[in-house]
Amino acid sequence: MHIAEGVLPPLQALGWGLASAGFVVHGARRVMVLIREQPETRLLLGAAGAFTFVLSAIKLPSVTGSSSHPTGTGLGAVLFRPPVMAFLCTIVLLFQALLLAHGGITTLGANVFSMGVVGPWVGYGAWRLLRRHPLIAIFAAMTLADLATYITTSAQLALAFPDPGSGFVGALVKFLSVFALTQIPLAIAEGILGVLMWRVLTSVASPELNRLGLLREARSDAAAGR
Amino acid sequence: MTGTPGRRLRGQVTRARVVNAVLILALVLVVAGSALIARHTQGEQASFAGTDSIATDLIASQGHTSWFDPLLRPGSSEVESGLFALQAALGAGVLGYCWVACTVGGCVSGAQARASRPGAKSGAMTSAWTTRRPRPIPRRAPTRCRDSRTSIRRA
Repeated sequence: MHIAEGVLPPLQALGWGLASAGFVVHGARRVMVLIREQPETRLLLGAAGAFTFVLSAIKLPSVTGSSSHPTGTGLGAVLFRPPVMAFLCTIVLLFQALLLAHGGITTLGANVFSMGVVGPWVGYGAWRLLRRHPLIAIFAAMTLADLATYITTSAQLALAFPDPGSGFVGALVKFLSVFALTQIPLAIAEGILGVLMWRVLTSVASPELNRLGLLREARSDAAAGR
Repeated sequence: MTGTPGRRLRGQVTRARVVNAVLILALVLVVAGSALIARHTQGEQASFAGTDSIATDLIASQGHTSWFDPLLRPGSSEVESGLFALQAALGAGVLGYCWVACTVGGCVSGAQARASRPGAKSGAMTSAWTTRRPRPIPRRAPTRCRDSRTSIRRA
């Protein structure tokens, strides 16, 4: 989902940068508030950031004969709400843009928007809808956050480079065939990893999950559904 | 050493462990399976190039050129994969630290941890680790001493 440096037209790059900036600033504030008011969640916050850091570095082969990487943003979005992930993803993407020439400074805004804004919000939405069954919800959150990120990237590229014949839709189909199909098995794998992470978290960090209100919310949803 | 339920489970096959093993197996199968499917359907054509670079090439093939170059570009693919490995290692290191810290010491500091753990399942070893945090030690130590002294006096 990393749009390479200098690929997007300057105006669009600027537009995505402005669109993301608000989310990132808000996310940074949320992180500050979280650390000040709930310092005991710092370890978990570090873990959520590290999870995204690891997963976005691992490129895995896929059914289409190309390879891609997961994003790992669904977990942090569920634990700390999506704004926090906008900030954490910016750190990850900056690291990759500056040191690895993967992504870029000019395309940082567009990449933050897909990975740090759309992905986490879609994942969080899936969690909210399904959280009465936490394991299914975390699977859906991780899988959909991953897929949504790549679909957003495809749309961003289609918007910048519409097909001469078939316009935006044609280009979208073309970019989706590069990104989305490859991503499906990886997103499923990420969902399974999310279930594993959730099982680990509920066994070693249930006080923190309680403190963040997650277990209680899941239980009350389950009770309301009965 | 009475209450150490963690020890009793060592080496035992529990339901949770079976489920975790099945999940890890499923994870490996999904990734390995999709790679094998690609090999099977596309043969040698499956080069497993990154989707990011495929998209960039696709755009370049339409005649669009990049207007800004990366500030730093890894000298070779070896250096690049090394840096990616470094990123994964940094992340995994932090993740591992958090896991160990949460498992051994409890993520919540000191007294809050014990208050919010109703069953106090953690046993003697865990509480010894949590008392590393500054506050609980002076509180706990004197009570222990007083108890032992009174018991000595009584004796």
